[in-house]
Amino acid sequence: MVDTLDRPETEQLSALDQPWVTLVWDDPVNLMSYVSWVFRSYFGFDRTEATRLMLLVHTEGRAVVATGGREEMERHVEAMHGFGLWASMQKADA
Amino acid sequence: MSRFESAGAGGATARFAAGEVRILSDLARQLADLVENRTDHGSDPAIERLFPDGYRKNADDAAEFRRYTEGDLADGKVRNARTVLASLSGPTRRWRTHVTLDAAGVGSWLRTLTDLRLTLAARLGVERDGTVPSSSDAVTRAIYEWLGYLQETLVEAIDT
Repeated sequence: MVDTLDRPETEQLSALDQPWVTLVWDDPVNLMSYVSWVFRSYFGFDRTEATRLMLLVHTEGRAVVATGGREEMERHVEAMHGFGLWASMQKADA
Repeated sequence: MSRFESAGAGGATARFAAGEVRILSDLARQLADLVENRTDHGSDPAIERLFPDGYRKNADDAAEFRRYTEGDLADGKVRNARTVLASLSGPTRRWRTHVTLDAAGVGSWLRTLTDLRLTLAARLGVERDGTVPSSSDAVTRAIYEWLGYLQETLVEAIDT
């Protein structure tokens, strides 16, 4: 941890925590174009990355769309539910 | 069938026939009622899908997440439905209602169309692969598909 001396304390703590992930699950209703738009407009992904993740959801049944601290993932999941996407969070290795 | 076109700057515009305005208004009103008058989870698959679990593997975490987020989530859904309703009461010219949306209005419409399609899909019993059972109500099925078309044109309209 030699490079963390100048970082704020909260950042050090979250770096030591086990990461969490936000998952988006496939559902038979949401349009592929809409899901891709949500990924672009909310997460700021470029078109290529948004399309890649959308296709991953569609073909694999789910995709990790974000990784980080638990509170941050809760915000993302809440936002995804606001868009009507089927999202949940869990520990990264779970 | 009416469709959305780009209005520039992330906005969109459409001209709806009276019948379309009536159906969309009824649906938006019903959605707001459904969300506002929701009761316990588990009894209505539409409510379950509109308010999914944030944690899938831990019921306690899921319940706590729900306690903290469900109120705001419900308020947002009702607000969006009312925004849609308000935008459908715009000026009528040549028997068509002109709806013009800014970027925020588009956001409300996209979310409400999603919530309506999720609700109708639950009512129709749409299967995991997207198949709509042929035994389901034909009018509901047609409305479900029309809303999908409308949403597709709205995403296209803002997709620059």
